[in-house]
Amino acid sequence: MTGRRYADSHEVDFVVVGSGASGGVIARELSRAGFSVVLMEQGSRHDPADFKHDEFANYFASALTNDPKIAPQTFRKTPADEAKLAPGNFLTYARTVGGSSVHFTANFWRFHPVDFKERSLLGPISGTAFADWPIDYAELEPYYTKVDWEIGVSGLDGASPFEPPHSKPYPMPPLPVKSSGVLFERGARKLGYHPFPAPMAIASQPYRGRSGCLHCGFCMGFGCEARAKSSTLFTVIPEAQATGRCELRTESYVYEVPLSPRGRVTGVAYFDAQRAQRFQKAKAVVLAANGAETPRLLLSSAGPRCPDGLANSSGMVGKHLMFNSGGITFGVFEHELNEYKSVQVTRIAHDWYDADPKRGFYGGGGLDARIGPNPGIWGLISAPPDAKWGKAFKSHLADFPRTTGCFGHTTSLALEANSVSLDPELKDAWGRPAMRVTYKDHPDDLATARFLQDRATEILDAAGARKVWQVPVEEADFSVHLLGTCRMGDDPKRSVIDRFHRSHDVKNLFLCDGSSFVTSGRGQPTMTIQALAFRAADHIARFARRGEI
Amino acid sequence: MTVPPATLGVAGIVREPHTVATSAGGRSVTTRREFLSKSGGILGGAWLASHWPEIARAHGEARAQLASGTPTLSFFTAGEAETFTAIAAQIVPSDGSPGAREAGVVYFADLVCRGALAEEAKTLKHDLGAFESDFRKRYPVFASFATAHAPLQEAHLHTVEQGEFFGFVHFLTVLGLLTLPEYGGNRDGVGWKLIGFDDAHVFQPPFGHYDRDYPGFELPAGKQS
Repeated sequence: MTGRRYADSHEVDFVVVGSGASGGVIARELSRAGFSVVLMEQGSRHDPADFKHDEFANYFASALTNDPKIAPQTFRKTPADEAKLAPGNFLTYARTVGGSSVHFTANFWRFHPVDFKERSLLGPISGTAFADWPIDYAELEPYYTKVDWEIGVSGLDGASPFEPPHSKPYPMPPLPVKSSGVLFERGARKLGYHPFPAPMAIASQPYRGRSGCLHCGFCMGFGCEARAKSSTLFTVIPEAQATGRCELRTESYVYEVPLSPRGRVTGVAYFDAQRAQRFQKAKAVVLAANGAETPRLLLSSAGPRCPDGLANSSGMVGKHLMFNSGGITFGVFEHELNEYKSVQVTRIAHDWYDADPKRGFYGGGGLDARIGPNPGIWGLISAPPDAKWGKAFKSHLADFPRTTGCFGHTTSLALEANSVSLDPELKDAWGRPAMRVTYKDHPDDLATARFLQDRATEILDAAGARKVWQVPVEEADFSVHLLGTCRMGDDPKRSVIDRFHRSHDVKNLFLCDGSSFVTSGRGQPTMTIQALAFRAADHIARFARRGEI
Repeated sequence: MTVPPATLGVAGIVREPHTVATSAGGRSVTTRREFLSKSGGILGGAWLASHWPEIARAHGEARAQLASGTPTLSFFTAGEAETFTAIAAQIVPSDGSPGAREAGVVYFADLVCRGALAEEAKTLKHDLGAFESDFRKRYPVFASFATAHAPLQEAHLHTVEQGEFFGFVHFLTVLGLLTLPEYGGNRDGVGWKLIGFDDAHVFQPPFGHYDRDYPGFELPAGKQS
């Protein structure tokens, strides 16, 4: 599908930068509202026929993700350290139409009301930028429901006593339980916890012209060959193109958003597939390039009128980078589970979601039951400490069908030093400043991850595992949850965008993706990114109709 | 497109990836084309009909099968390959069932070290040489690490197991054992057989022993779905 084409010189209503979880939603909403839209994507478009069960290509040869060979990153733990070339991608995202909604695992928990107002409830945490969001759960709820229906989420209503209110039931029943889910449920219930069917952005039955899940097992890190995964590639992006007002422009790498003398943005400068420099004119620009590339693009757009970067009068662009922490615990059982079949997760529990000062540290999260990755990655990461190689390792490998794990998904505190910035020397393949990542976990984040690992150990024991072991929790050296780098807030001195995703500094510039987050939630950010995107698009369309852009 | 041409082009290996015969629940899926045919009902006829030509083009029998016969090495010398294989055979031994040696992990390593992992593998040849000469210095009675007896090989590897070199060989061995056979390792799917992995594209519940008689999810008291 090619759809509408606009000339660079045609001043469109909106350029949306990034065709991922957020950009796809915004492009559809704005084009359905009657506006002309160019949706820019630096990667190419993949079709289901391109998606193979190829662990090597996807995990080690950047088949879908940003490629360190052309877009290198440097890394340091603290601003006092020298940033060195990272061996791979410290910050990884999908560089393809649909963005990370193509290769995500599709866990679609909603945030809870507490996530938005935790600073008020718990008080300040010294040395951190722990803050409330300027919006609350009630304001976002209708948009969460929109994600459930427009994107397609499978789940069971009323299954969790901790679940916040939903204004409408899930459109599809949960996916069929796996053996890991049954065992997790059994173990957790024995201990008095409240496991429930995982809400997933995967169709459990045919939905709006897409297939139900075939249970092939290759979700995390892979594109879905059955189109059952509710990626924007299969949902809102083709719908945006079908309006006849949205052009999807692939292999178009936006490198600068210049600021005019009138203090407005006038479009985006980009490299096309032939690396020719071009400029698309637009009345307004929406950046949805993800929590790493959105701040990088703002910083790369520094000029005489914004020496510290576009929309950066606060100095907050790129700061407060958050991931989600979490630990992995494995257990071996007597009989076969065959965890490599079907979706990664079928049961989760949120009994530890809220922070509890009695634990002695800040943080909370959830646990899910899964083996996680497919054969190769499992072989690489799962070995117990006493079986790393040799006969013991071989017999461990042979336990694959009888093994499952519990993965923790936990909070990360916002720290000003943790950031995305521009490397002063290193350039990418286009000659633009490379990304420099500064990150060191707050001790409470690691404590939370270990706390949940201990709960996971108890659950696997209670479920009857014959052997249980923990993968040691260490400081992060990789993340796919890229959050908090252009945070939302009412105070223009402490935040980058307002509650409607408009940049405080530039009236016709909007930002919406993981960078908008004020707190990290407890993992699984895409559901919230998409709810924010539906909400942002509503407000942006309203402003545009009233001539307030 | 999922594999950079640099990785596959060198070896000229272009092959239908899903050809390992498997069986689960009395069903056998042998090729991707067959998988797609069998899953037509689940996918929905209309979608399949409209996409069939492109899928067939991408994955169908038009693609050449991997040439049978012995793959060749071009990254490693024969000696380096022998050392690599001997180490790999200690990581996943061939005790009673096929291990890393039978899976041909060295062919996987050879392919990716001159392709996608060329940068990471820059010092591998040098490191293999250093490992070998260090071993011969310590045990001059043996002509090479590969010709030493297994218990000595194992003991010697314990002295280097914390190092980066062993870590990289371990990484290549595990992936060479368990990734797609089109990369040269996991020959005849022996890695997948070892771990009990069924390379099919469609499964139906029950998936395992414990979900077979699952009575259904019990909602918390007072809740109705």
